[in-house]
Amino acid sequence: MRLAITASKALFLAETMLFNSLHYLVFLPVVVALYFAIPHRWRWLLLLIASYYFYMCWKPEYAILMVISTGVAYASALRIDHTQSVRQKKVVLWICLGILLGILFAFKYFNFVNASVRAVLAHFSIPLNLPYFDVLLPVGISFYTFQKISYVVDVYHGKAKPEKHFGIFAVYSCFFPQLVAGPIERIQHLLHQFYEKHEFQYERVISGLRLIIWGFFKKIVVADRLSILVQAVYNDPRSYPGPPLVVATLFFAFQIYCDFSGYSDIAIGSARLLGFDLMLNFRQPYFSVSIAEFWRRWHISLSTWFRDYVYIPFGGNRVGKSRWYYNIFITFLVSGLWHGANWTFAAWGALHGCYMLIDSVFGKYRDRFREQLNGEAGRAIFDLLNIGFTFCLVTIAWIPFRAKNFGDAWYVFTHLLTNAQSWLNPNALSIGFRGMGLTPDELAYAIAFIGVVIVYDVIDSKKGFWQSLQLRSRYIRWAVYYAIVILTLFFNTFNKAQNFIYFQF
Amino acid sequence: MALRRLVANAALFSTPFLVWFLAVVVVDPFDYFDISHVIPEPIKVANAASLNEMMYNMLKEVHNPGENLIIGDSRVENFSLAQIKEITGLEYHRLSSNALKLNEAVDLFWFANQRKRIARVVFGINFNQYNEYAFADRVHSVEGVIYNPLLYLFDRSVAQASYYVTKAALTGRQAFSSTPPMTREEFWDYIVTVRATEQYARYHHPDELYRRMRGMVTFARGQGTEVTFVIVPHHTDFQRRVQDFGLTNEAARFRRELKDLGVRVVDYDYPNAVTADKSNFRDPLHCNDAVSSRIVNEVFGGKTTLGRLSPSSSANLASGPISPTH
Repeated sequence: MRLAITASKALFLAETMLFNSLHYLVFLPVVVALYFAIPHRWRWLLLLIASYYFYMCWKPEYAILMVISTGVAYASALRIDHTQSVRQKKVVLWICLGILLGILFAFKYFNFVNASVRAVLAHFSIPLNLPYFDVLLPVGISFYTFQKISYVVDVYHGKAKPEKHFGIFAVYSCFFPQLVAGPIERIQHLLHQFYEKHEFQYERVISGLRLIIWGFFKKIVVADRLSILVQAVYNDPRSYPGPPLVVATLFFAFQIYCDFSGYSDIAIGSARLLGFDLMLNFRQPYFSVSIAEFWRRWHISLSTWFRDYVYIPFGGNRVGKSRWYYNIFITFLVSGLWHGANWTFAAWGALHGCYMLIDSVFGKYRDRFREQLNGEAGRAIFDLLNIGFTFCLVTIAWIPFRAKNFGDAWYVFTHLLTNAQSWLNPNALSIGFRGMGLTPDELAYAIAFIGVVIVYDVIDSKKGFWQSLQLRSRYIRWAVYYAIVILTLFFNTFNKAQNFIYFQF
Repeated sequence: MALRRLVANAALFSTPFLVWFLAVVVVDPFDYFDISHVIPEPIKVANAASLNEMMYNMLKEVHNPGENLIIGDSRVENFSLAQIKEITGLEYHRLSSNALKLNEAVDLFWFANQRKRIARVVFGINFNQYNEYAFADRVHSVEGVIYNPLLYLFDRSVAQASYYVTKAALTGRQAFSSTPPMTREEFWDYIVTVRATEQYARYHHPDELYRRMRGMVTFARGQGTEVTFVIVPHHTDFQRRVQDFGLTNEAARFRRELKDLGVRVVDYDYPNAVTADKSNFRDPLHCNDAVSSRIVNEVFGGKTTLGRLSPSSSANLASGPISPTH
């Protein structure tokens, strides 16, 4: 009885509804069942209530921010559409952007800017007594703000019609599967789906469930397991020599990929259960042969957002070379700061900006060289080398992204190759990995599960994992389903449930 | 039609899982549900408890919380509860686990105190646990299981334990053994070389752990809990390894910091006739029943001849036994 009470408390009184919580596993089927049980005309209302409930499980009072930003975007778009004066349209657009970005700035960047300005002024012995804004960062604020900005800007440019039904627009603004960590949906892709009458389709539900279980596997079996070692090392990197630093950095590359792409899979799968199609957010990014390709495969909804609403408005590549390079660099710098109010994120963005500049200059030579290679085998080997090189560049850039500060990032970067001889000494190596929260068995599992993800991605990149599975017999399909479910159930790190990394952005 | 097909396939797909649920509830190797007693308790103790002692003991504590506790690793398992009761007249519970880390010992204190206010607690510890790198987090994992039956149903050690206890019940023989496949001499050598290297080659003072220990002791004192730390004995072969790894000062600091906590500390881990004699030990880290019995007599009876006491001057804590009444 005592256990039953504590268990039910844990299930229903959970403060936050993460995708990887039992709360969500109850919430989602209930919403899906109700959605198909009620008439089409009320479904938007159900989704609106469900989405606000989902969001308010985290911090109810922050729903007011959502209401304000939704109201502002809705009214601004209508106003822009109604007015004939270009000047007035522009004024409304800027007011709307000012409010949306102002909210984002106040909650996410004010303290960061305040601290940075204080630090600079302190060098000149000028005191600044601006108080800090002591609030929690609203979950998903960067995502839903960007979604609304894209809507208003598209209406301004005449690429989209403003939505007149406030309720439908409100659901579009807070649709729970993609509310807190994307994909950042464009109005042209998502909004009309709220008007479509979705029928309950077996194949659609199965494909949604497949994505959800695969997303769970990546999140709670792979990412959360890797995070144990990553957290131990990156919390105190100066206590560790090269091998743990290398392993933790590699693990982080896979942790963030499995964490975020796992989240996206659960989001896309959840939406699919309801009959909605969300955009693809990841396409095997670590198989990219160049940094430019990496950004076409990683967090696609955000990189296309930055392309359409930052890079192109700055002039894109239809400008002089130096201005073009500037546009690339500034886009990545802003993208870095979007991820977090810390100079380490800016450094990550700047590093990728530099990579892109180098790629823009020298990429053509690489492509020409590839064309001159004889035979498929030669090109395949060359591609593999490029994939490895790109992965190394991306992984190195993850160091400032994950480190707590520049000092730690620099320490990790400069000590990756220290104690290299211990790679050849299994005893010393095993001692080096003590106290990081993973037993040798767990470490082996972690590596094996990374292997599983890579194999999945290889198959998926060639012919689509689920599509090719669909062609197999039912026994093979079910064997694969059972394997994923059993691995997820028995090898999860559920009781160490962690937030999704991208929630903080 | 689509819904019917989905429900039928979902039912078929989940059948093995439902069978599994039922099997775990019936076998219940750690007495989580405490409904079925098909498997006799001694079989569960011999198999499940050896496999995951932490889960077994924590769940036992949930079902039957105690106010007098012994918290430690395998080195306190030879402290006979019957002997303690004979000496003190008190019922003690052992909240131990193999390879328990000191941070986990602190976690166990809070875990137990949440369920019942602890009156007396004896920690069996040693310097080889007093290291920032000697860290594990099993208490919170088991707590997660306690709060969520699904985690119990799908816990790997529950699956393993279910298999072992079922096998043992069917065959009448112990199915799981944690005894390493080595001779005594090989194992002795393994502990002194490999295990000592694992434990001492990387050392960092556990600042955060010590802060937590202080917090725990302050809290215990506030609620009137009597706290005793017993530094369990190692054979001198293992004691020497502290010196080999240049940690003599750190070991002294460990004792000093324990003493600074202001509670009763009884130290058995120093070179003497008992710790120098191999026949007093099962392996370099575990003394035999006779020495354990002597330790129990001293710690719980009050008259210490082998154990070194600190703080020596504290009136209420000095060489007195653990108080029989509270």
